[in-house]
Formats: sequence, C-alpha cells, structure tokens
Amino acid sequence: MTIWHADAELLAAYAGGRLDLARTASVEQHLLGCGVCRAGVAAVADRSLLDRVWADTVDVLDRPPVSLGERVLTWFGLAAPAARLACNASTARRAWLAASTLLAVFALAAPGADDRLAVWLLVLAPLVPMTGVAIAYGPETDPMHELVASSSYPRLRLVLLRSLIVVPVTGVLLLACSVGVPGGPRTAVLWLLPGLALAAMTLALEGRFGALRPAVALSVGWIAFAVGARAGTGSVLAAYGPSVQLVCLAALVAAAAFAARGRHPSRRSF
Amino acid sequence: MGHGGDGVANSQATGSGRTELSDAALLAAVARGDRNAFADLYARHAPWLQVRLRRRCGDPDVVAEALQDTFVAVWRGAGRWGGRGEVPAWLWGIAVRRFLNVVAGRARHDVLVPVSDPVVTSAEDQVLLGLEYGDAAGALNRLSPQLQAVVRATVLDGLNTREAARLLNIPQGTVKTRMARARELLRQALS
Repeated sequence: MTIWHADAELLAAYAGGRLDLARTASVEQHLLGCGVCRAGVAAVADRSLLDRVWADTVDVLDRPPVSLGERVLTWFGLAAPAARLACNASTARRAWLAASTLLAVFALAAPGADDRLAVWLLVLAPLVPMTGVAIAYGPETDPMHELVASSSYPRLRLVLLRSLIVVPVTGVLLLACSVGVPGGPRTAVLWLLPGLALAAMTLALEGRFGALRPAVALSVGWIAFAVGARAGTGSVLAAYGPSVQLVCLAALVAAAAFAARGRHPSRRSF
Repeated sequence: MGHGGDGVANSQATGSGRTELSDAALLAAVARGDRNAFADLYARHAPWLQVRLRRRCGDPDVVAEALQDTFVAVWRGAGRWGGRGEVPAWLWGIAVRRFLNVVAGRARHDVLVPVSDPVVTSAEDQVLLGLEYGDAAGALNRLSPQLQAVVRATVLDGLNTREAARLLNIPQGTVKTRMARARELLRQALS
C-alpha cells in the first residue's frame, strides 16, 4: 500500500466545507490514521479560537472543584454562580456543622441514659438552625461578605438560599437527636417551631444589627427561658408547651414578613 | 494563564523533544498530571479536532465550547484510555459527544450537512476515493441531505441511534428508518 497524503488544496477544501460527503468521509477517515495530515490540517485551523479555548480550558482546570452542595443546587436548576454563593463554606460554617454533628452523636451515644444530657439537648437544639442561618450570612464569618455586599445579588435571596442548606442539615440532626431524648420523635418535632422562629428573627434583625448580635441575644434569651421553665415546673419540656408553640408560630410569620419587606428598600414608596 | 500559553507556544515553535513522544506516551503523562504533556497533546490534536468540529457546526462558539469540554474531559479522564485502539479515534469519540451535549443544550441549532457539488480533485485523490469507496462514493453523494446527515452521524461519527437522534433533533425511529433507507439505496447502487 502506497503512503498517500492529502495535499494542502484538498485539506483547505475540506476545512472550507467544499467537499461532498464521500470526500469528507475519505479525508476524515484518513486524518484519524495519519499524523502527517493531521499536522497539515492545523495550517487551516482557527488559531485565535484554539488559543482562546486553551486559555479557557486551563482556567477550568485551575478552578476549585465544584462541591457536592453546589452540584445538588445546580441540579435543582440554580445558576452555577448562585450555587457557589449559596454554598461557599466558611470555616465558621464548618465549625457549626461539626458542633451540630457532635450534638447528634452525643444524643445517639447516650440514649436516655442521663437526664441532664436530655435537658442540654432540649435547651440547645432550637438554637442550631438560628446559628446556621446567622453564620450563613454575616461580615463576621463570611469571607465573601465584601463581594456579596457590593454585588447586586438580592441579599434576602442569598440568605434564603443558604438557609436551604442549613434547614435539611438541621432536620437530619433533629431526627438523629430525637432517638436519644425522652419522648422520641415527638420531642424533635417540638423543637422545630422554636428553632425556625429563632432563625427567622435573626434574619429579620440582621439588616439592622448584623447577624451575630441578634443571634447571641436570642440565644441568651432562649436559654434563660428554658432554664426558667425548668426551675418553675421541674421539666424543661414546659418550654415547649402549646402556648409557646403558638407564640413561636406567630413570631416566625411576623419575622419572615418583616425580613422580606425590610430587605427591599428600593420597593418602598418614597 | 501564562503557563498554559507558553506550553502551546513552546511545543509549536520548538518541538521541545516532547512532541516526538507517541500519543499513547503523552496521554500516559497527562494521566499522571503532567500539564506540559497536556499542552503538547492539545497542540497536536486540538487543530484537527477544531476543523472537524467546524465541519459539524458553523457556530464558532459551539465549536469552542465543545473543544474546551473535550480537553477538560481528556485531562480528567486520560487514565481511562486503556491503550485500546488509536488515540485520535478516542479523542474524536469524546469530542463528538461533547459537541452533542453542547448542541443539544441549546434551544435551536443547525447542523451542517455536506455540500452536494464536489470540487475537482487531483487524480491521486480520485484513485484514493475509488479505492476506498468504489461506486459507493457516487451513491453516497446522491443521498438526500437528510439521509447524508444520518449516515454521517452514525457511520462517520460513530454515534448510536439515540445520540444521532439528539444531534439531528429528530426522533430515534426516524434515524432508524433513514438509516435503513440509506443502506438500501447504497446496496442498490453497488449491486
């Protein structure tokens, strides 16, 4: 078999789309097996496009890998930059996650063994979602805060996005904890409303006071309330009574409404 | 990304010794995370891949995106090339599927079909074409553009029925019937 190479004219005609299917097929099959002609076709390639693609490719390879959370959010239809903003995990958030997990592990390791442990869980569990939300957005903890504050991305949307990550984690945590406390899963459900109410109030106050101060104040307030309830009635479960749940529901709705309104100054009528 | 740019420039300008490595050796180096080998692989194969993709789609942005996706996939999956078959064919297999993904992700797309009027080629080319195709060449060219597109997607580009259907934006059943029709026409022409 003779060694045949496509001449420059044929390759130019191929690259220019001036060949019929049979010749196109012939050239393409030949190119797959012939390094000389592959090199020859490079002469008619778009050099500026190749340089651009190379730069972009290297750029992609040097980019930090996309996290699991981002992939999940993108899968749900969120734009990639928004997913990155939502997921950007600061070290503080990791600390929160670790602390939450530790809480759950404690609850699992000593199921109902120590009443004092249950008390601690009941006091601290509602604070977990709030802490998560507070950490989700705030200059104290967010390395991207400057960037976010100067961008036009709606802050409320960002906080809600980040809460999207916080809430499922909290849900799993509550479920895990519920195994270990007296009362079982019912108790865990009891935590939900106070927990969400505290988180929503933090959100509402974040605009004026930042995330950290409301979170600390509300934590102190809640702990005092729970300890007071235990001192008064002998059981920390008193802090989860029906009236408390109702108040929490009202607070949740009011705080959510306030948070939503307060964050759209451009929509105010003056 | 000066590093990458230099890599391409070097391998193109000087041949740097590395370019003498076989495709398989380059790919093995890429699998070990050798960015220079990757630059050489790009310099060697991106041009013809770009030209071949360009024959599939007139939009340079689509070609650029597909080419980029291809080499990102090559960098991450170089270790998956098991040494079976030829590297260029393997690369094209990746490129045409990345191209398919880019194109299918767009709401509307036009896939280029080969032109119907051939240019006059040299006697050598005619001999080559005659050897490879015989009377099939003429029969192939006489197929309607729709049939040609299906033949190219399945036979030339190695796509399966589902992939060809996605590429050409037609139902899978249509791909099958058009392929059967093309096969029948070619068989008639050759008998």
